[in-house]
Amino acid sequence: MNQDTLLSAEDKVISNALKIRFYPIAVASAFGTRLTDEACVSYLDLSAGWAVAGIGYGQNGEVVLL
Amino acid sequence: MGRTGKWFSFDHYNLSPDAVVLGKSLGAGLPISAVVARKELLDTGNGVHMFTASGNPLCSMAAWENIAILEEERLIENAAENGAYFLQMLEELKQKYEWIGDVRGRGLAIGIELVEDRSTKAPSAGKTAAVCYRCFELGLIVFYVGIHSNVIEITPPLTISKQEIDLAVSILDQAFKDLESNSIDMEKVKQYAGW
Repeated sequence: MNQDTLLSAEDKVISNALKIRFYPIAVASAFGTRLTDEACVSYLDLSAGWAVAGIGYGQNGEVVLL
Repeated sequence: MGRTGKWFSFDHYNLSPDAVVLGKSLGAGLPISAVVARKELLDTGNGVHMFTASGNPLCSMAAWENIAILEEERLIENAAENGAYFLQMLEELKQKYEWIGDVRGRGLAIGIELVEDRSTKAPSAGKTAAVCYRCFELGLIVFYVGIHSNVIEITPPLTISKQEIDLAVSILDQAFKDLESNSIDMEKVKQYAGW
């Protein structure tokens, strides 16, 4: 599924009440301080406070541990 | 939690709270909250604070690990040190662009306020949205907040390095340059109004 497909699928089924959109991004994965979209473009994330990722993303395999 | 360079924001002041509410940052992504207070405040009766999801094992374990990582990796110290560095770099950026009316924050909780004019301090929501959009195009995720939608919020992971802060500031610099030269596609910006 490409990014446009994911975003258009979201538009079809998710209420706008659940959206604040600043630009068209669909995050496919994240690690450390970086987000990666479905086109494999990497972004430095200064918005981690919103996702409460204070310790970063995918910390040392902690997800697997839990 | 830890974002301001101390465990809690109130730690920056000489005060002792009666009760502390720990919200979403406690679980680092998993849903959990807590109320911490003196025994005489909480023990007002048996079963008066029972909730179906209280003590959920998965969320509790996530919170436990989150606290351990904050301590072991000295992330609160990093927030204090690199937050001060970030603020210093942004103060330098402020000297270059009149639209930056104020830079403020503690640790890695930072705001950049955009104004039309530094004397009137008139909020500049349109320019704020444009800078955030351009940052996205340049590989930096940053949002804006505030009652006038004119404050760029900077709340990165507490693990952020000085090299990454240099990159972030260079992208912000480029975005402001592009705003100055009218080379940001405002039609695209308008499609994503934020709030």
